[in-house]
Amino acid sequence: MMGKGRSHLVRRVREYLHHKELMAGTIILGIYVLIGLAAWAYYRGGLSYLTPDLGVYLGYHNPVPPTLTLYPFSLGSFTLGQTGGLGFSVAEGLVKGTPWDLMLFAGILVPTTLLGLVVGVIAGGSGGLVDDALMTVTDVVLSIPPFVVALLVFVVILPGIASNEIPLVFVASMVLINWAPYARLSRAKAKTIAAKPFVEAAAAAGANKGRILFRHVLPNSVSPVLSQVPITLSNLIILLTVIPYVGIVTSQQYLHILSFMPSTYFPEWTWILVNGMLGWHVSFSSNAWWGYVIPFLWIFVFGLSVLLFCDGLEDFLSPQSGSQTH
Amino acid sequence: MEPRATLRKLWAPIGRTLKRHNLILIWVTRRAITAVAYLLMVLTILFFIFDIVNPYSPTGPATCASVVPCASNWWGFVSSMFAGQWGQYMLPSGNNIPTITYVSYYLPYTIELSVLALLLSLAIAYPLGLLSGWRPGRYLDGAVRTYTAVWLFVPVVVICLFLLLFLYEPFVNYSGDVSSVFGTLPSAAWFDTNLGGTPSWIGLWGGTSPTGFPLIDAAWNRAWTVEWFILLKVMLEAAVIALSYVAVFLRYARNATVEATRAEFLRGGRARGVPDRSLLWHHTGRRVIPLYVFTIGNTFGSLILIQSVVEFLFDSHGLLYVLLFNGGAQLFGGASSTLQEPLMVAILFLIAIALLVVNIVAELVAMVLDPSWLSQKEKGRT
Repeated sequence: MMGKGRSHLVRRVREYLHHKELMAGTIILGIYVLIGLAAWAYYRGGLSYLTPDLGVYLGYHNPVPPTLTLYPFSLGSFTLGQTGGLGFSVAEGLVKGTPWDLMLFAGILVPTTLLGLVVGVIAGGSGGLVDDALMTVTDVVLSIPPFVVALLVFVVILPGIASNEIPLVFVASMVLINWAPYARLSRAKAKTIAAKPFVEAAAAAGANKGRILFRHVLPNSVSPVLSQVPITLSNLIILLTVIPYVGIVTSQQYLHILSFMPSTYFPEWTWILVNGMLGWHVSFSSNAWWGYVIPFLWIFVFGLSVLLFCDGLEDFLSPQSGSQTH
Repeated sequence: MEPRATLRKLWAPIGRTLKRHNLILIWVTRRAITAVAYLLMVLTILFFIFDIVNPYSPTGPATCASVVPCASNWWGFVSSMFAGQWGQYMLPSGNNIPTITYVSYYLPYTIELSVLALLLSLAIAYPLGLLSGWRPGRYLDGAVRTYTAVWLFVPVVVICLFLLLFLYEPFVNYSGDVSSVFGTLPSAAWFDTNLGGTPSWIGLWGGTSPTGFPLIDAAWNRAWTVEWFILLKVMLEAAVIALSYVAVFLRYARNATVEATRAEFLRGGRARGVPDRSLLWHHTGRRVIPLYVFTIGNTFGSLILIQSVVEFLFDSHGLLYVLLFNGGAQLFGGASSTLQEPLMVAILFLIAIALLVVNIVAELVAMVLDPSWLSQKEKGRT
């Protein structure tokens, strides 16, 4: 079987580099990944702990604003709780939280996409009883809102889990609940691909079912799946933002507001965002805008870069740009 | 003869008769069976989580010797859920009321809000989705895609808290009382100053009579100031929900429209001189409506999440507020708070039923608008 050759690869790479949307997404995501790697290299052991600025007690009306100098670089401080308290640096929190959040989002989105893709391809490519059975399971999973499962998992399963396994349980439960839309989308595409002539040709040439599914049908079913990724990410961010807030309202204990983080003062973007919003929201006159505007922009740009990347990749992989494998 | 062939021979005349006279009968039968199967599966999952895996449950891991004795409760659980016997809810005072009564105080508001939010979202997303999908790549399409990109990643929490900051003062000035800034109905103090006391049609817990839906009841009882107040609140919340939900919805809607515009008959119509406007709104518009209603089913999880957040942050007492608040209380209150299992199970069951209803409505709409949809479904094209 002849391969497509090195010149084809070179041409595709050049197309990738010239695709504006895709390159914008890749570059911004790359910046986040670089910051995450740099944070891991720089902070080492202290990566899972935000150091409170013990010399500074941020009262009700005097949080520390950001400075406009490059050195010392400061994006201001945010406080825990609603009446002032220990101050934490916004910049340190966001940078330290980058590797954790990237791992969290990648750890949820990648397995979800793969699981949904595989289930959908098997269902759409096989047809018949396998298709019906898999789609019934998919429908049941689709009907359970992910947010409800997150709540349930923690209300019911939390007591029995050691605190440093909680993030794993959270990631696993999010993957188990979010894969259904991907299965639906990839099944629809796999059905049309399976009816195409080149698949029939492959079968006639002696390829067995598995090879057809994973070598021919699957690579061409990836595009519709990519459009769902930003929506899953958006739901995830809303979920992560609302759980701490619910905790604060119902328990009045700001220290334990994000119960699936392994420890208190664990850096995580949405935790900083919620704290920043609360610190501002309660005392309208203090207006520590840097506590919520900067983390919000950080998360927003990240989401936007994922959107650009996924939409660009979908466009790049679509048949019009000549990528359909034969 | 092998069993399959025998069955087929026996079924053939019945199938022919049914098919000839009533595709709808087949659909109803199939839908009824799948609906029951779906509800049973959802209840089994709930049973597994709340009675087998749950450490607080009396039949949970601590007391279960093996899975089998606990599983024998399954039929009792399922039959009582279908019968509406959802257990007891413990009030803060220590008294118990039936869970179904407690739920009925809060359910109407959530239904009211979802319906209004969905209507508002569809009113915005339908024309926008059609117009942007009709001419992909043009300015309107770019604007729609930008809107989606932006509002998809602004968390609803941020929007709500931001709005509350600006609305706090006006609401306090309007009602003269801090406690009516939040919540669906005005506060008792507002009623005392404006109406001389809380009216009789507002019961305990803010439940209203006769219908239970605050919007309808206020108009029914001719309390126009109250009606205006409630309408403002509900439309505000519906607008906030629509802001986020439309971003999710438009992604699906635009793709659905792009698919629908590839139909052959449009090309034929254009060749025959049918005006573009008619092709867009009348022809493509009709084809696209069932796809949009199916999209509501697909994005139901997002809608539930967004609505729960809005209800919680605006402190409006709907069912999803209760879900979040009770769930949060269990989650963060620690082991000392009692686990109100029957309430959680009841609310989750209702959410599953709501999704079932949405899917059935979607299929009904598809049948009404496109008579060939049923026979297409039979052939397995959908």
